[in-house]
Amino acid sequence: MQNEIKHYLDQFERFHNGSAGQAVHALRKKALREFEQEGFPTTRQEEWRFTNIRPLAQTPFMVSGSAQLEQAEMDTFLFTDWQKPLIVMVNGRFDRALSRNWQDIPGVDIIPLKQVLDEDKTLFNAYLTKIVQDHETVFSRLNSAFMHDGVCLHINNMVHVQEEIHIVHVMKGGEKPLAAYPRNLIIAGKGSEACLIETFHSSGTGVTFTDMVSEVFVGENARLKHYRIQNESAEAFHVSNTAVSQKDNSNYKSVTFTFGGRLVRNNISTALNGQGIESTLNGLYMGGDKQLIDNHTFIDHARAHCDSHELYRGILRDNARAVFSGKILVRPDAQKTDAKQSNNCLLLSDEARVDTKPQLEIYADDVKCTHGATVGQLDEEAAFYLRARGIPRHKATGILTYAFAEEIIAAIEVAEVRDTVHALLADRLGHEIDFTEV
Amino acid sequence: MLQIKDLHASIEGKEILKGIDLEVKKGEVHAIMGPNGSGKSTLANILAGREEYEVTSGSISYLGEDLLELDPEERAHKGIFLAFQYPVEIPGVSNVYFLRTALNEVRKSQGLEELDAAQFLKLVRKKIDLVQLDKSLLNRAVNEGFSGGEKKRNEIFQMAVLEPKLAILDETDSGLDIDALRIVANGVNSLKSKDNATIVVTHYQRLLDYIVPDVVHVLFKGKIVKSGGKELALELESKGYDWLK
Repeated sequence: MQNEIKHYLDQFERFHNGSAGQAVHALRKKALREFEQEGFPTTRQEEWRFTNIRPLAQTPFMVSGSAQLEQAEMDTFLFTDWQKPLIVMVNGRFDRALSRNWQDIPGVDIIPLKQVLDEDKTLFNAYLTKIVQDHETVFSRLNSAFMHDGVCLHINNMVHVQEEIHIVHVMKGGEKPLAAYPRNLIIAGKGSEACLIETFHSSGTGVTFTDMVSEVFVGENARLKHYRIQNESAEAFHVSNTAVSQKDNSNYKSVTFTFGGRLVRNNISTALNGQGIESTLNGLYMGGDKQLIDNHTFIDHARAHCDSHELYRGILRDNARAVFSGKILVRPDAQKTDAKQSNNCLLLSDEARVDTKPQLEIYADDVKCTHGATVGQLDEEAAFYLRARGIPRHKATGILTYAFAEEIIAAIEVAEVRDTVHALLADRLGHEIDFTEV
Repeated sequence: MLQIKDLHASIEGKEILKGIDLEVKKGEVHAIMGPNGSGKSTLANILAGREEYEVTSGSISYLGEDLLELDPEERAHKGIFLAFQYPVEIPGVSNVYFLRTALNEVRKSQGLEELDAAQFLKLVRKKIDLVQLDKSLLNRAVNEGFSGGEKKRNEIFQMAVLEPKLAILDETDSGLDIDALRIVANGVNSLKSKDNATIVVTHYQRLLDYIVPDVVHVLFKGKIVKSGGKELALELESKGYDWLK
């Protein structure tokens, strides 16, 4: 492991040479030191028991410089006729030329994170690393060490943002393995409302690594919806670290869709730091070939009268593997907690495998916590029913697989997100079913 | 239309059918009766192509083709329809989507144009009254939360839409009250023509008060032990199955 760590120390020297004058440099150096001490995890560590990251750790990723993207290629990543705010991140850098309609949203400040870091903006410095610090992993530290750019989104108090904001992340590969460390800082002020959509794509070929951190602050009475669709190439490594802090009576809903990537790990932690909070973490993943998709969630019920809902569904084919770990902590003060967790996985081949691990730690006595996990294969009885009515085998499989995912898809409020997920499912199932009419 | 010759079949090594011979002609209604465990449902399911059953010997010819060579979906394309004894619930798929997909697959196999959503709805409106099924059930998930009677009527509704040549009703009468039974029977009767045929599998005689069979067969321990006219059903009703042993 020593060489692997040294590689990142060398990268740090090269990449951040000359930036010592910036205030952010201290944060980066601290994170690097912690990374150096901790090193990459092995499967002997509980949090990484089922996910061997050696292929990632052993690849000598170079920090990507800025990359160019043609408009024509860009268009393939966009929702049809999208006139709403659009932010484009290419290899971890905010691309002003490709972004549009983001500067004049009433009551919303969107600032490239680089500007925040370089100009030492106090408002955001007040938040930077403050939310993720309670949920650090080796990968969030690595991101902090190399953080350079990203999206700073600040929704002012009481502002209801009418239009959804779409952030497109494109990772363009090169001859050598490239890494990007995008970083989001999202602040939803008191009583505000917004919906954020992030999509992740690959351009060209080449091994890539996206190591992302999102720090999300949801103020009192604020409502934030956060959709993510990960559809990078089969050569992509992807680790996302999302840390959420919620205040009284706020509502945060995250829906994480994972379709692409060779190895994907999504860490999401929400701290319910108030009363009357609602927090929803949903996810849908579909893996094939030798993909490994790992979702780790953590919900920290710190105070009373909060509800959390978790629903993760997975579909695995070929030799794909998945991991779901859902931790719910109910602290002594968190009376009247209502926490519900459910995760189900559908295995479409004999070689596919899933490891699931619900973890409930409950220190309050007047609470309602439920969890359920199922792993199953396609319902042969239902498949025969469809076939007996004339629907061919492969289509029956598609319909039943879709039906398995439907509960999560039906809850998507944004038509473009729903259509994209429909299209990706149809594509992965290898035939045309017009799921929009199901 | 259908010729079954010396059919033997087993499941998990246990022989259920021990030499069935049966011929069904166009325009006919056949009833297959028999006590529980006699092999009635096995026969119905083998006709539809359920793969758990192993046909160990014998043959089934349907419209001149070897039926046992066809997949379940191919059989449906060629006009075979099984009304399930236990219709399957499929959460997440609407009844209307399911049925339109099925109909279009059948039409495609016959070289016909597929129906779009509007054309299909028009057709559905005509057919749904036949079985007096609540229209709100169309947009519900397939059979999910349907009552027993609704599930059975949904089967006959599907049959009305798909217009099969050979319909096999597997214990469609079980669990139905007399009103539902009458509705189901009316549906089946109105779909009857000189070109199609129906096989009614039932334990009790009462369905046959409404769907009048041309031939009644008694299946017992995997063999047809007696065949006759509709009066045979009445005889079974009064004497039970014991006298056949």
